[in-house]
Amino acid sequence: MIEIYFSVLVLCCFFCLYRIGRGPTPPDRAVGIDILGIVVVGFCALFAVFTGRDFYINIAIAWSLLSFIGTLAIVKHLEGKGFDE
Amino acid sequence: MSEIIGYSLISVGILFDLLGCVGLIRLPDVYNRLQAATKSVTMGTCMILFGVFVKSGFTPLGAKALLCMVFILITSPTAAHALARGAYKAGVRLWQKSVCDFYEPVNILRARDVMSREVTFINPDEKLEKAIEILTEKKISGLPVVNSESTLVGIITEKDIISYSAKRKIEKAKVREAMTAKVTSFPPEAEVEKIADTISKNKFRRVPIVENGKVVGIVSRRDIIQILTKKKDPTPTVKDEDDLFNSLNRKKRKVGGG
Repeated sequence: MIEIYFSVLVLCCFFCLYRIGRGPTPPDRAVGIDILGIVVVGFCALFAVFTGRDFYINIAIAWSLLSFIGTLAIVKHLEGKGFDE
Repeated sequence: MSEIIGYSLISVGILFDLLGCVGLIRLPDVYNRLQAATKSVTMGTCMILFGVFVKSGFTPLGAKALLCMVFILITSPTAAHALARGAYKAGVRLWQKSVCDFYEPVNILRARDVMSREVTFINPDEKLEKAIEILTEKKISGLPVVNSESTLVGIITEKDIISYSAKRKIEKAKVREAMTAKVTSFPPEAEVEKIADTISKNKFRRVPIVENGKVVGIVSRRDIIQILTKKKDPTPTVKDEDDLFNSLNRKKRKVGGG
């Protein structure tokens, strides 16, 4: 059961990596990174449950925060603005 | 009991994640991918986190999972909206089979919004002197030439008259002999930007607007300049019309592209 869960999530991550690698436009890659971040958050939460180690959920929280900020930074760049605008 | 509910939530959540990622792979353009992936992956991950919360209850782990879920629910759609807008502004085109683009600017200026409706015509069989008279009287530099069936047959401008007078005498000449017969005209629905482009490329001073073969208006450089600078005052303030026109045209295209 656990194996199926994790293998499906890893498969999802590979789908995201495919989109990041393939593109074809920069926003496509940004979407891939954004979605990868969200999938990894779920992955970390599951990991926390199955290993019984609490700190994985902390990683999940930090990752979701960083993924959000990172996506917004990429968006700023795509719109052709500097990060301080 | 909470174990079963928790595990079923996690299972369904993982299924949503998988479907979202398949959408990310299979869909044709960035907007579709964003739409499929963000919604279902957010939903899936939130269900996983909620399942973790249900399974472990109000332990530190469960509480943090709940916190993380709320955070993702808020941030993920925001990031997706920003990303879609960023992609649009970066000039990523919609899929060619997309049916509508509501984000496209709706107030495109058409020829009918800009054109002067009071057009002075001249018949091709009139004397050339008459045309000169009209041009000087109305202080304009060109006239559309329209025959008795009110179809556009040509255009006569100061330039035509000058080059004609260099070769022959204008006293007995008819308008037909001096006019430019090949006229570029536009329908009233034509976009002003396109007209401005044609005018600046071909160095025209005006183009007639034709509907069902009849001249309904005329768009001159001045009409376009007035629209671009949002000046209603018809008296020109700049001496070099060409330069102003070209700079405005460039500026407008730059704004439209960015």
